[in-house]
Amino acid sequence: MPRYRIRYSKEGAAKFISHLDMLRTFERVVRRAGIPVSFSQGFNPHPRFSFGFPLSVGVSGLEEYVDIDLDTAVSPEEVAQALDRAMPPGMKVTGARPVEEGSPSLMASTERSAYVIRAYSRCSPATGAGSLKGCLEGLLESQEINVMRRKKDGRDIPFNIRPGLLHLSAREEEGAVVLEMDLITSSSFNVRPQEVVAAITGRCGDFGQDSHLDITRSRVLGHGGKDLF
Amino acid sequence: MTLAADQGYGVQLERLLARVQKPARYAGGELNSVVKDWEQTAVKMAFSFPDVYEVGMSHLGLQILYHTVNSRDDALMERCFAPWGDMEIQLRGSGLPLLSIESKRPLGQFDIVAFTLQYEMSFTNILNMLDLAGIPLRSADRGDGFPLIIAGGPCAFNPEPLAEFIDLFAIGEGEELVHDIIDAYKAGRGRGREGLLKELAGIQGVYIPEFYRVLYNEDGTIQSVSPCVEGAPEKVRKRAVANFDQSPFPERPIVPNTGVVHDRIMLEVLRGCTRGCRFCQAGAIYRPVREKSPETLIDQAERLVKNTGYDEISLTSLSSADYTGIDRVARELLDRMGGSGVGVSLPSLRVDAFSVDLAREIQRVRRSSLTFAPEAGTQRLRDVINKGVTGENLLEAVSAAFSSGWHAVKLYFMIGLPTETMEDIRGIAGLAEEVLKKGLEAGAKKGRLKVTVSASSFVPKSHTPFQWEPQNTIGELREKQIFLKSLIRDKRISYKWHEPEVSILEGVFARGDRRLSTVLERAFKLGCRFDGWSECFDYRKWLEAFSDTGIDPGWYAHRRYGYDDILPWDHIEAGIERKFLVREHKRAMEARPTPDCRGGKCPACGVCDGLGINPEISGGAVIAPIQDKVL
Repeated sequence: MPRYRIRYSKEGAAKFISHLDMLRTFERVVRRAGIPVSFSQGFNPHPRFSFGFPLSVGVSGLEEYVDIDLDTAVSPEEVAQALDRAMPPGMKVTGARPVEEGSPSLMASTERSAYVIRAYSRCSPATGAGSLKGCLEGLLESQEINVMRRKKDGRDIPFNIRPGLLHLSAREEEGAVVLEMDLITSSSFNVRPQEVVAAITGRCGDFGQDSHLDITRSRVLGHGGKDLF
Repeated sequence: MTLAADQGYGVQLERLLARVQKPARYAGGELNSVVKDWEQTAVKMAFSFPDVYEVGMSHLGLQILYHTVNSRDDALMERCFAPWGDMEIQLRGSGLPLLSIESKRPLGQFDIVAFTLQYEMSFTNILNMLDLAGIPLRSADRGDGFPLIIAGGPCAFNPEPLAEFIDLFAIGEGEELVHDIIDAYKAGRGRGREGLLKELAGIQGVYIPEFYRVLYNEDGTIQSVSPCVEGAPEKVRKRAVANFDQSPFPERPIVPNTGVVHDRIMLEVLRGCTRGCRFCQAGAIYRPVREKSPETLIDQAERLVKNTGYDEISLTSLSSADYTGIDRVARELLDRMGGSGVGVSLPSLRVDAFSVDLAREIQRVRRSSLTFAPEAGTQRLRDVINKGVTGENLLEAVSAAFSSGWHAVKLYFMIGLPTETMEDIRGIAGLAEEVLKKGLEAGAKKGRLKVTVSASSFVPKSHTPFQWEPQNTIGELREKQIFLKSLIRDKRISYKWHEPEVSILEGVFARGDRRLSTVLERAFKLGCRFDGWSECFDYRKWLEAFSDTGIDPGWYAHRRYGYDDILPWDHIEAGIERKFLVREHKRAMEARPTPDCRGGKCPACGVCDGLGINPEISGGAVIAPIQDKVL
């Protein structure tokens, strides 16, 4: 069964489509696209999709991936074009490539993600990038950066995100503070960009209660930063 | 990338969306949604649904009107839904007005804001939406600078409780009426509010409440309702579409980005219903019955699948099993599309074995249970309400269901029906037990066999033979519910009931008059919202609103109205003649059924003659409305 890795972006209104709703969205996309997608066997057959690490609601994604099984081989260019034409507004297909048989799943291949966060504030910039830079350097020197995580039983316990923070930088752009970070986002260990912002807010000054964070996941990468595409 | 980069509201909205539970409700950007050039479009309408997105997007009427208006070059229609509580807090806290989904513009910037009235308990949401948009609630307080506020849908057939808030009611089907309204709006928009309303008043199906004077008798009943402006008709007659087969149907419906209540293709196979259940308002106001041709349906279904990607086609209508040749159409759809994983479903089943067989054959994805609506527990009471279903029909249907592999059956009943006694309540429990027995006989799996009895409360509605009937009090309804619960002892039968308080309020507004405007406004000010949602409904606030305004809800709900009374909705005509309703009411009291006119006998309800539209039955069955051959 030929498998294809689809690279797509998800921005604008589409960034509010939840991970749960993405399965339904893609089911409809493939039906509109008319490509020969393979269905699971059983009482209630579903197309065979395999998504990568979930994107939070409200976060844009520039290079997201999904693996799709087809019944018959079609040229990757054709698959990409047909899917792109069928995408809902805000989503674009930027590529498709065949996946060799026996390759690990997308989820197992994913190790890290790059995020860009623009912080807009009415009293902008809330925390100037200049002073922020020094503080971030200090932050990266610490062995432990604890944030609170809620456990299943409702208790909040400290969790050290430092091992999952691979890169962190700040600059200023058009009145916004822009943070760039590479985070571990694998099934065994993951750090959320909002947690990094919370850690920065705690140590390097306030972004301000009214600040609005525009979060984009710009890339999703494999082990050691390997391209997934 | 922001939601609407060209202007400020989208950016502001986005800040709020980070703080609400389900931002997809407000974000828009769905497949097939239409965003037109605002500056270049002459008439701008907002379809405003006074409930949450998930409910509103499940409404076929929205999709039909959206398509109809946006097909015009000179008009645009955008959508707006009632914000859920968390979003209302954000809007009020930030001072951002209520925005349309498409271009994120405040409702106040539209020319026409059109509400749909699907349910009485959504009325407070209308006031809340106007308030959030910064639009004065009362028509009298709105000058030339505000949009025209219009409303349509089933509850517009008794528009009076909303008369102070709505400028214009559109009575009946909207496919043609909306064009007439837009044309008249263009012609009259330069003439000020009064001049515009006069231009609109001449259209059939348009009711402008401020052009009518209501006088009351000393006992509180209505003395007269009469037009006080030249050009406003004595009676406003509903609109209905002739040649329904060719009427506009959205072949590119909006496909929501998030799960909604009816998340599938809604293919309307027929409109109207001839069964004549005496409690049913939909059956009365959507007459005459009109079917689409099989060719049209199959053509529309194929386009719909291609344009939406949905995997399910629901054959919708008030009673789809009544569609001539339903099995042929369903089979043909499955033949053509089953290969691509597309299924066909029926939204509701008629109480007979035919419907069950049909459901078994066409439904690819098995629902776990089948639902039937015998409505009443005894044959006597089913004859009173003209349900046209016997106990035998039901037992045959459930036997077919159980032997086809279903092990759960849901039964819908109503309590508080006219002439009901405790015997009828006993009959509900008895039927449930017989159904259970059929399940055991058919060998339904032990432990999975389940019968659910769901009892709602009867609400008398305008334009039906029961429009004069008093509604049971909360005490009476509760007593019947407790009695029924005491009769149901078998653990395999579960019993669900509705809160009687909601039903009573529904009844008050379903038959209310203009004086209820003050109650509605007071309830809204006290914080009533989403009254149809049990987690939001606050009966104490409603009682406070009635007490504050000196209005007795019981007078509206529990009084028997007289045949000679002038009813608040008498000037709104659904096409059914009053003498037919009286005759039907009298037959009900004698427990005499009236046959379905599909059988060929015309009971002379008056609709076909009155509207000049004949029933459209595909396959050529003709119901000759011969007035002198009544029954």
